[in-house]
Amino acid sequence: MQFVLRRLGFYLLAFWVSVTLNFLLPRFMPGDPVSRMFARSQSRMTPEQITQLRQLFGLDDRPLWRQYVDYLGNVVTGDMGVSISRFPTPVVEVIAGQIGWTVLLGGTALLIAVVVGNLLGILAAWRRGGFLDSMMPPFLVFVGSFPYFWLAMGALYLFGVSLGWFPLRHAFSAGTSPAWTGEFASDVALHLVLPAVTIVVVSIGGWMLAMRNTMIATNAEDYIVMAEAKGLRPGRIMFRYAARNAMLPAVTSFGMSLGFVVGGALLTEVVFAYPGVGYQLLAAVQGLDYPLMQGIFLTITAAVLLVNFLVDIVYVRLDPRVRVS
Amino acid sequence: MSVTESTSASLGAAPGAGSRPAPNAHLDLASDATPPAGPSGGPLPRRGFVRSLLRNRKATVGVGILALFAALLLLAPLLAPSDPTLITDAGSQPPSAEHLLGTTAKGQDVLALTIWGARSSLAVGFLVGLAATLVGVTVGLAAAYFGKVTDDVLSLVTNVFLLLPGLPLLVVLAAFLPPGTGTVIVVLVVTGWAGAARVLRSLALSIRAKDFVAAATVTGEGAGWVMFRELLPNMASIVMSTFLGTVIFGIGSQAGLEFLGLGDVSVVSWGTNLYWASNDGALMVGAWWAFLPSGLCIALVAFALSLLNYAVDEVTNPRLRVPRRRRAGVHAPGGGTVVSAAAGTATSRASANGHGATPVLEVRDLTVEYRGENRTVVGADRVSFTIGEGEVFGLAGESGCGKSTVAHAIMRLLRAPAVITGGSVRFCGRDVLAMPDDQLRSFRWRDVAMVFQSAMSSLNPVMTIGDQIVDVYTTHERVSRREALRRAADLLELVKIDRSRLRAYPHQLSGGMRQRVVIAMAVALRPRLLIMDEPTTALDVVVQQEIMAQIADLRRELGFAVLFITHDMSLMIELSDRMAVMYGGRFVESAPAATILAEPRHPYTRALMNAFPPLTGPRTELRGLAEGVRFTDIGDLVEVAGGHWVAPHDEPHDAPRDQEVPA
Amino acid sequence: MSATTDHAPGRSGDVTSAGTPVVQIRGLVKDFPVGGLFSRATFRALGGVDLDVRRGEILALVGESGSGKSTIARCVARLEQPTSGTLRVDGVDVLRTEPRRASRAYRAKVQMVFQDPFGSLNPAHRVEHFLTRALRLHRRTASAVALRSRLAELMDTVDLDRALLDAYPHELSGGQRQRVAIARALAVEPEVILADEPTSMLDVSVRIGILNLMRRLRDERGISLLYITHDLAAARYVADRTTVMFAGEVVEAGESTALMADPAHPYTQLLLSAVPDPQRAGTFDPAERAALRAQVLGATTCPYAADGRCRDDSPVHHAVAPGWTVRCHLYRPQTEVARRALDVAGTSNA
Repeated sequence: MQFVLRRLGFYLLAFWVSVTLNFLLPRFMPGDPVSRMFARSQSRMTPEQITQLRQLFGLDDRPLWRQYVDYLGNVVTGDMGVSISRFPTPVVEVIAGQIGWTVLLGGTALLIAVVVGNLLGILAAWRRGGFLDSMMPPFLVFVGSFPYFWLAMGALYLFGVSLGWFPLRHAFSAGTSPAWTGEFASDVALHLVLPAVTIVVVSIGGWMLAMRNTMIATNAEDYIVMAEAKGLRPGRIMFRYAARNAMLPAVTSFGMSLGFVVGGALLTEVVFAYPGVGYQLLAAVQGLDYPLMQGIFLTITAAVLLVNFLVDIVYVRLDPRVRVS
Repeated sequence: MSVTESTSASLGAAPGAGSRPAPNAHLDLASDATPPAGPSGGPLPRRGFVRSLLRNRKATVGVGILALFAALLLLAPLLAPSDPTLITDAGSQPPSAEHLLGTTAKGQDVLALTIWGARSSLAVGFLVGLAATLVGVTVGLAAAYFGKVTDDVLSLVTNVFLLLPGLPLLVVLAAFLPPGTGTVIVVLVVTGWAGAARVLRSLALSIRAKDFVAAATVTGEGAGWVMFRELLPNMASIVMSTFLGTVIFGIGSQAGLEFLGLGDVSVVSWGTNLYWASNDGALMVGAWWAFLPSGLCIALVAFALSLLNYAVDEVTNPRLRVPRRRRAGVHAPGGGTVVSAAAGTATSRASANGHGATPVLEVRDLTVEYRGENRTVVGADRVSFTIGEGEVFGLAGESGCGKSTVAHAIMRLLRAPAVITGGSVRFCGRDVLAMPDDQLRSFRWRDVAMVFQSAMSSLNPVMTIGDQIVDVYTTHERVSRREALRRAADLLELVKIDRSRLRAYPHQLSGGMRQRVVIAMAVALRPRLLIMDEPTTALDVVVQQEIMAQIADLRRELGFAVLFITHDMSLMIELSDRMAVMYGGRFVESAPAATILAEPRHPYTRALMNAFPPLTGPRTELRGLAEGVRFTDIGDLVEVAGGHWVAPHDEPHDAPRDQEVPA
Repeated sequence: MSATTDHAPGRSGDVTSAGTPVVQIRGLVKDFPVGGLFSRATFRALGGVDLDVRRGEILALVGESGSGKSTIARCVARLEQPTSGTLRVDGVDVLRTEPRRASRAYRAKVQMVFQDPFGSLNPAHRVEHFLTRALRLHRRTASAVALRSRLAELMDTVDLDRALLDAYPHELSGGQRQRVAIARALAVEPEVILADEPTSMLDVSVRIGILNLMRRLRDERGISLLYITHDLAAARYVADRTTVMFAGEVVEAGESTALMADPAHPYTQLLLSAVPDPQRAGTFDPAERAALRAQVLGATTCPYAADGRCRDDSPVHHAVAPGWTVRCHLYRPQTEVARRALDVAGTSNA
């Protein structure tokens, strides 16, 4: 319990750092990009909205600490201003409309990559010198060396443009509207295949290699030899004794690498025009939509921290040694 | 038989010893000071490191690809003299003789763009790698040097930055900063340093805790020397792999940023090439040549760096290497390797056989080889002995002498590269080496059980001890889980541990208790033979005495025979009926324990005995083996008296000063 | 083959003529912080230790793991900062004169040999480097020629071939490495060497050689050694006096052979009874052992806690014989011992 609380404190601290970073960026960056934004879009805003945005970006003459306190208050209450590129929708609403797609895409891809990658790693380490152990890692390293977005473009070109097997863009066909029907679900699934497979293919090698290396270390442990001496069946030794221990570092690195996976998902979304927050982030950058940009960054950070916290709770369940201390 | 003194540097231990425990691979969330899970081998001397790296095939391929790109970079003006940004009318041309890789929508030559793009991409990647690694090393050294509060703060900051999602942060940072290559580098270092710092910090701290750092301090070295001459050289291989990792990060992230249009799109780089290809809709018009080369280049460079990194891992931790020959048993845990168990080929006359009754265990001419890539070492060499019903047979010797090899061979627990190449092992007349896998599994633990050296590590840390005992019952007997649990509880009481401890995890028990649990587990199926491989080495004497008493009690009750392995001659003589002394894979002496105590014949036996001075009587000068004394070509045992067998030997003819009696 | 060299009684007799001890420890306390950044909890590793290392003697410090014996060595080596207490070397109160870091002059007097010879030599350097650094740092050589001969001399002293000067640590056996570590300590020409379990990680057949080397350094060079070990038999073999530690406290101290022949403290008795020794006549009665263990180890911090007296009243050091003290409320002098104690009542260092 104490461990969980300590981790919670740590994540709160991390979130505070990112909020503060967000607060400082527009105020101390050279070139005054915010003024440019105002120059471009001021005409469309009401005076209240202008005042609010000016406060959000420090273009008023209140003392800095006062601005900071107000900013923290705004973030905590979920008030991140209005989007400029999708004026006058509030940032929170824009994000709320899109985060579901990112969760769907990122979650599916991550789940597949983690499960399959770790299984491959376990098997590779168990049968040293086999196909999985000798041929697979270099191959997956090679595939994993390609940039996410480049593979996405390749897949799009090959399976979308040339072969026409999969749709080219968006999360569902134009003309349909979201509904809880089987027809719509299969449409969504079809749109999901290419982007998800891209992410899986690029990231699976990392999972497999990490698992393989930990498994190799674990297989040399005395308790594996002991389990063999006990006459246990190989399957039981492999999963209950070896993999069960080897997955502990994997769980830790799962949280750590979440940020990278999110990044990859963002780029993939851009290529497929997948309507998630990553695609929206790029649109925000191109439209000089700083409030939306910052809102998305904070949302993603919060999500990553939250998942990490959940991973910690799972870890405590998995490793009895942490539970006691 | 001869005694040689090797004065030159020589490695004492045979490879079979596995001499030192491998660092535990578990990353402990609670303590951040745990070294990273990746390369876990200790620091290597630099000479050997570079040489091994050059021999590694992955490294060769990696270096080859990198060299190719280096050439591309340097020869760019020769290979692609035309200005890559030159806009012509010949837009979106497929590859042709004039434009080997075709042209972009604006009519620029793709080959020229790709070649010139290497400069910016590689420069940014390497600069980012350099800067991030430098920050990492600084953080590591600072944490190690200042310790305590500084380290806590540094580790906190590192972990916070590590958690912030990289790409969104990159995007936000890049959006606020003026576009340009400098911005890209700064932004990448800001988001990328934490990964390097985390690895290097935990590495520096783990080296800081080593005795050689303390030894340098005690010698009188100053802090600066300790940091840069003691710590840093030992971090070299990990610094290198961190550098490679951050270069990969740099190149990939730069491409990502530029692809999003967040870099300076007027610079020619692989990332901007892809940005323009995407912007010009190259894909939609089927101009695959516009985006293929740059992406492939990024992938090739990243692949080469990954290979190199991988090779560094393999060199620092050779276990990760893929085994070359795929022969029977080279695969990990499984049957235990037997190459040729042609029983009864060479039979030595001598065997350490004490009595006439049917033995429980009969080992004859057992030979085990460790087949390395370059050389083969004999771990056990024509070892023969028998153990009678209820007898305690001791096997004494130092680390690397082959005593554990023999123990593991009896249960066929040896793993590659160890291979049983000859001899036989018979248990109550059954040929153990010929057993098929399923028979072997039921033979294990039911007939012969084993107590390993370290109870700390021979229990699965994430399973309750109850479950680990239950595993034995449910595997070997058709019992329900409930029944198995009940029996497990009885078993714990047999070794005087409360039944409620069934639900405890290994780390919740003291060292002595853990060893008792292992002993309880070992007698669960009432085996006829118990192998005990240094069962008390890691324990304090008081606990050791209690464990040994416990084993004596169990033996009275259950009547199993024991193969007892230790380097502690006093303990062995107290406990064993008969014993043998092993050296370099061979038996040098075998006799009833009392005989060994009274008149040890072999000089090596005497040296072992002398290592344990008596607690009573006058203090007399004792002698050990002088440094560098080796026995070679040990002959077969010869019976010198009833049941007392000794290998032929001379008295050591050298008498270094060590053996002289001091004033 | 072996000669009787029982020099012990003669050595311990001239206690009074030994003058000031080389190392004098009084009331040494060491608390280690436990927990994280904001935790103030501490663990007491040493609870007020008094200890003297006399000139030209080997003093053994025995105890089980966690008894604090290594912490004492690390405090004297100034690798750990004691929480309180005084440490005098050559009569100088060094924690007062150089409170933060040890001076080079201090390092020249006090050297240390570590437990793990695989860890105490930096794998990146050659043997020659270790010795040369020690010689240079303490200005023990003037010229290059002198350096060469000094290096050779050091290697001879520890019975290592001079050719090994060019070897890397990983090319040496454990025993050879430990001899290099001892040579490095000797290069400084120290007055006292702290040897922290120098043989426990070595192969058994070479252990006695290291112990003999320690005896030779004492006899031929008059170097004092604080020998930390868990091995009572080795302590008896090599040490003039033995100090027994338990849970961060000294429980018994005295001349080695006498102390081990007739231990006065229940903990020492327990420890001795547990050491396997085939030559010992008769074994302990199991019931007696169990009682002893309950009495001693039933308490978690201090063996005297059983009767609760130590909480209110710290036990004094009883003198058993000259230079032999035991610290226990439960200690009752036997008649013969009491007579001896009466003889020396005045010299007790309570």
